[in-house]
Amino acid sequence: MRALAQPPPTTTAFAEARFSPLLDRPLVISGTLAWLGGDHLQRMVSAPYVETTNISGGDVSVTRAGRGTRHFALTRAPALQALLKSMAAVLSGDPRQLEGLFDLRLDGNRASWTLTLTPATPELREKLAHIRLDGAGTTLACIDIIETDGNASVDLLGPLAARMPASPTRAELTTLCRGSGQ
Amino acid sequence: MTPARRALLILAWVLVLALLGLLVARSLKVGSDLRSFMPPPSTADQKLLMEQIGEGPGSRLLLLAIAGEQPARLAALSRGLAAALARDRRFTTVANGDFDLASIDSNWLPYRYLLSPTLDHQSFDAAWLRDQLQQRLQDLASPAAGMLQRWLPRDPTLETLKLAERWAPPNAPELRDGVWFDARGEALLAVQTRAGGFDPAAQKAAIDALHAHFAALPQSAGATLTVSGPGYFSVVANATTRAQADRIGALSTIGFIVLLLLAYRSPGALLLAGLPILSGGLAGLAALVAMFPQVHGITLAFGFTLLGVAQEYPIRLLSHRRAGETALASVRRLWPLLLTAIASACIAYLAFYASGVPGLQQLAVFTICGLLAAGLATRYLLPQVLPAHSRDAASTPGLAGARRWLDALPRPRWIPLLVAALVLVLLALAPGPFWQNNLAALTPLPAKLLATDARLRAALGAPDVRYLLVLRADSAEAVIERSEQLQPRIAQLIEDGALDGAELPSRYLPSASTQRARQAKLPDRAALQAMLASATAGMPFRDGLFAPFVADVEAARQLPPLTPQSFATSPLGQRLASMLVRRDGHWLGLATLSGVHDPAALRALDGGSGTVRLLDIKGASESLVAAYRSRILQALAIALVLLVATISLALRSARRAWHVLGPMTLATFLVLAVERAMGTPISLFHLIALILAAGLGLHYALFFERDSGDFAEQCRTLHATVVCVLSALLVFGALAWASIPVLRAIGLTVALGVAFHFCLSILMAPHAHARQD
Repeated sequence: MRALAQPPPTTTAFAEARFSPLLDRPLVISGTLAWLGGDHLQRMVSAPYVETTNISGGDVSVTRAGRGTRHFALTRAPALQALLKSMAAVLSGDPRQLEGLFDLRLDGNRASWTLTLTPATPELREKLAHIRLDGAGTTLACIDIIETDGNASVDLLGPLAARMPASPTRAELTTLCRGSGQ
Repeated sequence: MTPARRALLILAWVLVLALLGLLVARSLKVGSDLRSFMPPPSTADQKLLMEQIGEGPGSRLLLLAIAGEQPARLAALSRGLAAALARDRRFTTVANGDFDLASIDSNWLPYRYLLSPTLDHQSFDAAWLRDQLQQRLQDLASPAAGMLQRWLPRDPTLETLKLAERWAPPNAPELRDGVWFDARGEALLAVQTRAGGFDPAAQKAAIDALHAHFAALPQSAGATLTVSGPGYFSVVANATTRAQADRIGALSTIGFIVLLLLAYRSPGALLLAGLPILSGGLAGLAALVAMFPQVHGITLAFGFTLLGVAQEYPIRLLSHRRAGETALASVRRLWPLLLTAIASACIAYLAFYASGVPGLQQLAVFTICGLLAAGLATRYLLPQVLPAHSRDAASTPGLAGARRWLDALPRPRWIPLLVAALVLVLLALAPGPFWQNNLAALTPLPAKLLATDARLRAALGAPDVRYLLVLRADSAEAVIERSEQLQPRIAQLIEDGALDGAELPSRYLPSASTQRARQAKLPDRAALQAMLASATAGMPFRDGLFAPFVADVEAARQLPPLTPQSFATSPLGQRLASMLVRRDGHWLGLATLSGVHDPAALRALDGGSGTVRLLDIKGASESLVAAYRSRILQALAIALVLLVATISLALRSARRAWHVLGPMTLATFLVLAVERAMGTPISLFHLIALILAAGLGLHYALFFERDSGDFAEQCRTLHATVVCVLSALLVFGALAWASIPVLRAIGLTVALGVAFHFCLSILMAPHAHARQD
């Protein structure tokens, strides 16, 4: 995992598919993710609309063009909190940050690997089923987060982001992520 | 009188006192409402001020800060405390920045369409719905999804969220981990108690509960909870006043006993000499119990101190008793002078009664009854029980020498002129304002507490304590309507920088007509379903997802508009209820303001209608104090006239009256001048203390003026006066060390007064004529 470490700031393209029990089909958005070090993460959506999310110091602010800014506490968005923690741990090359929060399991080989994070605390387990990180060599390619309330999101990172289908299914995305090494 | 009869009389006296004490103890109810120690209100502003100080929303607000731990743990403690307080009946509202939509009772939710201002500028149509739903899809793809998802089917236009934002404090502190934090890293909460701020007993119960809830939270041991606000202050003031009064009382009593033992060297006589004061105290208490339903704690603390004057009576009797003379003969000799002294002191204390302040009236009743009872006991009971033989005080070693030295002092006629000139110079050069009009300066609060309060108040954006906007109308509903009319104009004033924020009653509840107008814009079920169908075309929402939304809109169409009364039963209604006050057939709406920069602009809001008034709490309280002072000064003028008449009549000579009243008056002004020269502004309590000192000074001047032509008697006069001066210095000197400004003002003034009165009444007394033999 230490091989994944990259000094901040780290910027990468992303495409995200969001599955919700309220919706018939997933929402797809794309843009760039920037890790600015520590707990400071910026998520800039550029399509199909423009939106910037800043996460810093436990506060989340979502700004949408012409709609103003909405602030809320990171504790209100446990999935995002977990994602931020795991990304920070991976990108800083320090998996010990995740100790006590998640049980870690690494599958596959150096060329194509999958890191599965299973919540270890009752609070996390209440909100989150698991987080799966897929990668190839020293690049993180996919982040798959499954929440307990039926919500799920799959983020394709880096070059893979460009390969996001317009209306993906979960199976399609899993194939894309697993095949990222080939 | 035989020793057996004496013992019997003592026993009977003590028994009567014990019975009286039992009676008083059973029916005495000690109150603690600090307002009874404030001047009586006369104008409408002053009346409102006193009400607001007692029961207004501002007075029931407690500001809390949790510090000393990591932010995440502080946030958890803030949530835990808020949850515990929300379940406690002693608190009406709890806010820590953590607004949870789930906390609202589901039955109230349809009202959001009547309460939210969205439909005032927006028609309820398919285009609006489509735009809203488009935004919700974006929300679902954003990190906020988890928060909003639960509400989407029921409230896709997020009216509940808009209401929560509308009802949040105007200048809310920064949110960290979901709760309010200040710049110092303390978690902040704002809590309203059910009990009024100036009911220290109920406030103490609430604050104790607060600390108990906090201590019961897991991991609270390492953190500290700071409480501030008017209610907390009243608890602190009560506790410190009581503690100091107790401590000073104990100290004075010990000093008094030691002094009397030294002066008379007879423990028996000393014990008996205590009986008149004890009788006076109990008689005063009995009078209070008979006349007032409740006796203020401060009345008791001050009253027993002021009753210290009565210790002069037995002291005079003990000191003036000649060798071999019966006590009865001594008291008969002294009585005309003692009676003059008692009558004059009672006249001086009448000025307290005329002040019209309930607490001071109680003090006057207590002191006058106490002095009369102590005086009569000294005249008619004490001589009957004193031992048959006594030591002549005139034989005290060194006394004769001291008296001769005093008599030899030059008594130039220009002394009064010199003192008067000194007084004028000191008064002319004195720094700072002459009068203390600030009511807060009289309330005993350490500056540290006030600084903490100012800091938390600023951090929480809590309303200004100085200004209040008062709306007047015939009904609560009409107040809301007036408030609604003012709302855009106040918003403009905020934009123009005249003030930072305002909390109007209509912020919580719109008028019935506004609610009806909003209701009229809601589509019926069929129309809404058609609207939804066209709005969601091409969107991925599941079929029938918005059934709860359709049901709520339909319910909102049928609701009767909320009235201030019906709204008061909702969880958010307490806030509004505390802003609406019914008085004299009118309703008043109290809008709290923060950061008022241009009071004139707010005063102009009324526009001659007489329905909007800016209440300047500081101005109203200062005018209250000024009005109160002019009452005391009037009472003092009357007391002075009565005093001159009493003394002239008793002495039957204007020249002799001058020898008594001259030193008393000059010493009083000298105290005033010295305190002013020290930079102390004169407060009401200084004036009252000056009256008290003048009462004591009168005794000294009366006895020094009396020229018996008998050197031994002159020695006895000196003995009695020195004992009296020392005991007064002891009692009031102790008070001068108190940290409570009111106690300190009285202590210092009386101690200085006693010293000046003593010196001037000796220097201005006519030369004593030693017996020519």
